[in-house]
Amino acid sequence: MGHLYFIPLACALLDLNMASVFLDQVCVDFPVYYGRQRSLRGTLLHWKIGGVLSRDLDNQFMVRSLDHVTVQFHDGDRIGLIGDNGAGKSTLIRIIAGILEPTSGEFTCQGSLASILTLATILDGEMTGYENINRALVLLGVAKNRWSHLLNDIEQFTELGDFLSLPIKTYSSGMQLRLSFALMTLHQPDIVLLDEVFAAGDATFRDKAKARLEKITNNCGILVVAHHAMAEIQRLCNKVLWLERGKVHRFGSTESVVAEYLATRRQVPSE
Amino acid sequence: MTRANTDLGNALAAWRIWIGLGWQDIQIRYQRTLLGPWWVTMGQMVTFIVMGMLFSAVLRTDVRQYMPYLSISIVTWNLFASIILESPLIFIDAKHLILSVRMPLLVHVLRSIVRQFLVFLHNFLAVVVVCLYFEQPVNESWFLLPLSVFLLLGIALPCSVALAILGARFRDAQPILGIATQVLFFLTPIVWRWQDLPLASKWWVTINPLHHMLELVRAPLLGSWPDSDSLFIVFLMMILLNLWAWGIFILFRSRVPYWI
Repeated sequence: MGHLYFIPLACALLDLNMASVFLDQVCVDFPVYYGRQRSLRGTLLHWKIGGVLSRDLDNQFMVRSLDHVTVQFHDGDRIGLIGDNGAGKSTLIRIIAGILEPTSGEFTCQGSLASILTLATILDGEMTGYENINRALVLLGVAKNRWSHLLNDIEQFTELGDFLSLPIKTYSSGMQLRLSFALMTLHQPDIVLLDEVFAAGDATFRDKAKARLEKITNNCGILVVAHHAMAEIQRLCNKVLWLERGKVHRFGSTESVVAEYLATRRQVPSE
Repeated sequence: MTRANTDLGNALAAWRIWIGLGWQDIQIRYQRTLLGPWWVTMGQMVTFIVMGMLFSAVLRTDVRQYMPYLSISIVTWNLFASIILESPLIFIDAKHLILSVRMPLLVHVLRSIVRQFLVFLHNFLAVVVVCLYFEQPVNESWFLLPLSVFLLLGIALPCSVALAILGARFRDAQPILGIATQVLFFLTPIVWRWQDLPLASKWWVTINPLHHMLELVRAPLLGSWPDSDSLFIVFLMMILLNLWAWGIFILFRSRVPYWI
């Protein structure tokens, strides 16, 4: 099985510094389990008994989150994802991030990836700031010789000082945000995925975070942002993908799609 | 299939990540304690002494022979039991990581194995202390131990993968396995010795794969070579379990993020 080791290596050698993302007829169905379907005992019992009982167990609920999505993103694209809640924006980002695999359809992606999906979740409240940083560096597979450099960078960016030696459950939410944001923006990847970031933090930090994020998004090959604020989309993106109930509703230049989107939205409150 | 291959390849290539994480897990768990991981060793020692005194009296065996036997059995058994009990929770515990960082799924399984193995090594020191105290002679059969440990880990990995997938889909898998483990503890010669069993009941032990796995560690340490049957059975089990778990992994790997 020696050849298996060379898969990452081959990917690295073939890297032509051109990021690209292809989705072809991608569907994503989320299974919704309830009650006994979560139970091994219930499932085994149902095999044996069969018949009447089995009917409600076989009734598998599926939520179709993405419905035959076919899009291509190329190097230089700045994609804005818009659509109502539950339109499939986050699911699409998870597909591109390689976290979920499509239920059907083809997906290929070239280029290194950073998905700033969920900020707080990789932190452990019982561990100190430094321990969390160490763990994140291990998780991200950062080489040991770059650790001290990155640690400096994090210390300067977060300005948390001695708090880094305390368990992060003692942090305020703003302080936690600083740390997780610093950790999520360690790398300069080819593809950046953002799922509604700026949530908390005081004004000075927000400016700093914006500058740091901008540096990363400006230097990356492909940027995908899901956002509800059209102003942000217009500022960051040159193309917009409008999702409606898991389907591609419009995909085109920012001006035309945002204008159309705003036009339909404006009718709703006036009813 | 190819994606399962890629997952395995990337997971093995990322050995720094899972060894590092497993190591950190241990460090963090015992960080603010006085004795650190030696608590585990201490706890084991206390168990050995109490159980050794009690059962050598109940079973009317010589404590000098019984204590080394008991300590090796319990420490090895604890490795099996903790792998069986913690595996179903691997993907559930790593939920946040799986849903926010792209990395091979097997990394989480390997991390758990590394953690269990490190605890095993700590506990093993308690065994060494017992063996030294009761002047267990050093024997050339000890050289078999690395092979035994290799075989045990070769079995632990596929079991862990399969149980982790099972636990992600069915939330009651872990409690059910807990009951099974408890029953197996009494069915397997751990506290009692299989030599003491009446001949007519020997098949109880012969059909128990866990007995053969235990024997692979126990016999060499006690200065005898394990039965060639035990060696053969464990080797065969390792191959079959790996094939089986690999099949399960190919089938259900992509579903795990949807389940957790």
